[in-house]
Amino acid sequence: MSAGGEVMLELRGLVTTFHTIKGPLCAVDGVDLTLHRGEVVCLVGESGSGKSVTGLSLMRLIGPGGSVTAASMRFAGRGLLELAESEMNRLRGGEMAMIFQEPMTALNPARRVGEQVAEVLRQHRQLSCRAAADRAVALLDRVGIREPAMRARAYPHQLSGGMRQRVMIAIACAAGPALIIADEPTTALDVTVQAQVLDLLLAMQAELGSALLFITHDLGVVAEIADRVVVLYAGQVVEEAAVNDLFHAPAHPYTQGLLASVPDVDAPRRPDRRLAAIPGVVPDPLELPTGCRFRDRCGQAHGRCQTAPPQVSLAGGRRVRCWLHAD
Amino acid sequence: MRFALAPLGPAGAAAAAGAVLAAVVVASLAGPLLDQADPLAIDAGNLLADPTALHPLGTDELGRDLLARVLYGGRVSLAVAAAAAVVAGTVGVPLGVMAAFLGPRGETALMRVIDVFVSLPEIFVAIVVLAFLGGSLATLIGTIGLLYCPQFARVAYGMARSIRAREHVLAAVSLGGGRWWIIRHEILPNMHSVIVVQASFTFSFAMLMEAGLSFLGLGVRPPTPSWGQMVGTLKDYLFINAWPVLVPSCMLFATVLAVNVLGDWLQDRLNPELQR
Amino acid sequence: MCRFLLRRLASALLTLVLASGVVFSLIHLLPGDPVVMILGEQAGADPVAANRLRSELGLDRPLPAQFVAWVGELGRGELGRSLRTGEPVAAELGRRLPRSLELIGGGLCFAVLFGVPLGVVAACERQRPSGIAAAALAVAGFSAPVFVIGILLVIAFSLWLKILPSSGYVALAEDPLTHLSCLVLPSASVGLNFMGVVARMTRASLADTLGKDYVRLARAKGLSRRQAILHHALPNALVPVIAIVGIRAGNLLGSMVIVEALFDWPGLSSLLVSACFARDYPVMQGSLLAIFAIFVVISLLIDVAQGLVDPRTRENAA
Repeated sequence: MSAGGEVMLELRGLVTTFHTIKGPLCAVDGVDLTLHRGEVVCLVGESGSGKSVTGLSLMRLIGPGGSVTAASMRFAGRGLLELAESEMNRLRGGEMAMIFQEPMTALNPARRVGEQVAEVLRQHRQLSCRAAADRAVALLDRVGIREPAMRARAYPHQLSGGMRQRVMIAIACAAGPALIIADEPTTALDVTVQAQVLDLLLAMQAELGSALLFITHDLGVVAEIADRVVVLYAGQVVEEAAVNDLFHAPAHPYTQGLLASVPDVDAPRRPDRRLAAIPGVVPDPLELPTGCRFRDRCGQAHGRCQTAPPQVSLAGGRRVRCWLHAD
Repeated sequence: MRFALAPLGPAGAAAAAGAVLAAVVVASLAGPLLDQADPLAIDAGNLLADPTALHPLGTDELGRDLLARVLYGGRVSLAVAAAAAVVAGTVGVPLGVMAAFLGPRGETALMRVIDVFVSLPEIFVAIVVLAFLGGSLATLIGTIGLLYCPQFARVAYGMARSIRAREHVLAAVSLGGGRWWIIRHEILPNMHSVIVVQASFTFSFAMLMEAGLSFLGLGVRPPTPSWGQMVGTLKDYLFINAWPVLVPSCMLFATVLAVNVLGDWLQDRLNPELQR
Repeated sequence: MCRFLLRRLASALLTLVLASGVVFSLIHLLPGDPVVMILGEQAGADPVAANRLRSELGLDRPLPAQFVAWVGELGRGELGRSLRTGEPVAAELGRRLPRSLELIGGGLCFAVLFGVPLGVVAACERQRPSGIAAAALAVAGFSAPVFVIGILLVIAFSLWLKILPSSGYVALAEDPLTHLSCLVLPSASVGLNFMGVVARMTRASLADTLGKDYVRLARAKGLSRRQAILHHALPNALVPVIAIVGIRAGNLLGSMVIVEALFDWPGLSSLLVSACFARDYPVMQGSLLAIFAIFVVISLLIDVAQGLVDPRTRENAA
């Protein structure tokens, strides 16, 4: 876990809108992100907070039903939004890689897994079929799949969930990316397998020296692996901090609520103790409240929250979007 | 066609199709009452004529007015197709629903038999049967209807099974609800949408089947006109004048197209979860 | 794979036996006495001759015995003789079978060669005019009755352009060029109608596949949109298309009947129709059985093709 180093990804003011029958739906509304080489940044939020959409927008994988704009979206110094599609294709899978959540659906069910890894190598390393196939087997071995030569000839449905996710990691790391975006890669796995896959991912990231943007809703994982944490709510960044700062002194009421709702195994058991939950539900993206988007659920809301709160920079590189820190 | 209607969206296309279908039905039903020309009257001086004031759609090979024949023929074709669809549904739906209550062995056996029948090409059976039993309308309707009832049965069976497995039905059974009660109160009321859609598809299949059989000379026999039969006779005179044969052809095409578009739209609206 | 093939073969044979049962019952349970047909009015006047003919044809034995006898004859390849011409049925079937197969084969090739690209365009260019036009063409193709398509083609190519014949048949051995020119319009009629079915299924299946995660992963790997569609989406999308071809193979055979009548193509269906009118039982049985056999073989080939393309089908079946 090393922070600092050159800036790999610089994102300012990302806005991703989907054109639905009911009108434009703004899934991501002004997100800023910075990633340095070798850093692990966790993007945290509930379902519908826009975290997956952020990852897809960075890769420019949002389909024709949506549009992505940003004040600045730069990867290794190059503006991503200005690139032609063919240049973007060269980056995807090569310098920038993505790992999806559900490996059963993300892998092509009708192709052998070795072939699916080799495809990346043929595409970005211009290897011959033979060389790519051999290298793919080596990669499968590297990600901890036993009997890689035999497994390479298997179809996805013949592998367990953990093995499939290892294959996904192999695909992502095949061409040595400088940025890995992992969209909830462990959510669909059993807990024991989760730990193994996490370790693997971090090992690969350290080996390659890449920046890792880890999208998740699991605070336990965040505590383990993150250097910095970005908290997302209803399409906006509400807090950003180094991991220790966030867990010890969360600044935004939403973050405080999230951390308070994690059950504490070590707390003394009392029959009247209930799980602390944040009241209310995430707002409908088509009917967002004016002003602060969290105010309907916030225990500390007051008059000023009717207008949109500013992003406030605090000490130690922290940011909060809340009126409580605006003084 | 659909291209031009595309800005209106699928609902617009369906509405246009509905309008076409309604026009055809109304014309067929009302036309013969309004139109003065007799579909059987022969105008010997005007064989295979192009449209004129006297004969707005021209005449056929015996000098009969095409407009009148097309409208009468429409009645026949539409009626046969509708009746056949009704027969198919009336036989197929009870069969399918009952099959869902036979118990596992009976179910598998019956559905296997029905599967064989569904997959075999129907027109050949129809040809053989009609060649022997003659082409009376009743025979025609009965044959076509029975040939399409396996499809209905299969759809009804699938629906009945899935309804029977729903939790509130299971609850009713556990409270002592008998088979007939379940069928009457749970299954039949919930099958409307599936039946309606299947009926529309069966209607268009039956229409095509009748047209094909009449084309071959085995369906509606002369002098009663039907669109398929008219195409069958007029095609021999194609090289003399191509226009007469196009009239019933286009009517058939337009009607079947309209029914298919409507059926698709109904399927999307009423049964979005079913994949076809 | 072998186990899968064997199971499918066994299933096909079973269907064929069932089909022959259907054929047999159909023909023998229908009214009309073949003896009367053959002898005409003499049958009433000369009962001795009628009964002799009846026992010759085996018609006085109980039905199940007749069925068993018939199946036995089938096994020996003996299909009887035409009541009209006295010619062996098997020979006539052998002559006509390849002609019908040509028609079906040509139509199927046409349908796939035009239908799949049409479906791909309709699915990929959904909102654009080209996509909408492709979808409209598909619906039109499969809604138009086969003989309407045939007639329109004849009007276009025989009447106006005068480059293709509107009917007739010349054997391949005699004059390959004329043979092919006679084949074009009939198989195009079958093909255009079936193309609609193929295109619709391709469009629906591809539209569904394009939304799948593995297509997105393919793009994430750096493949261009075209590469992702061609290498990942389309192969998987074609699996249900193959299935629908199998399910609708009946359509194909039904079209064959109409087309053979429209274009005077001397194939199996025209044989069946004329035999029906003439109450020529042996020919009817033979041609009906041959047609059903074609159908069963097509279904078998489709099953095998599905097994080849989708590894999961193989495992589920075996």
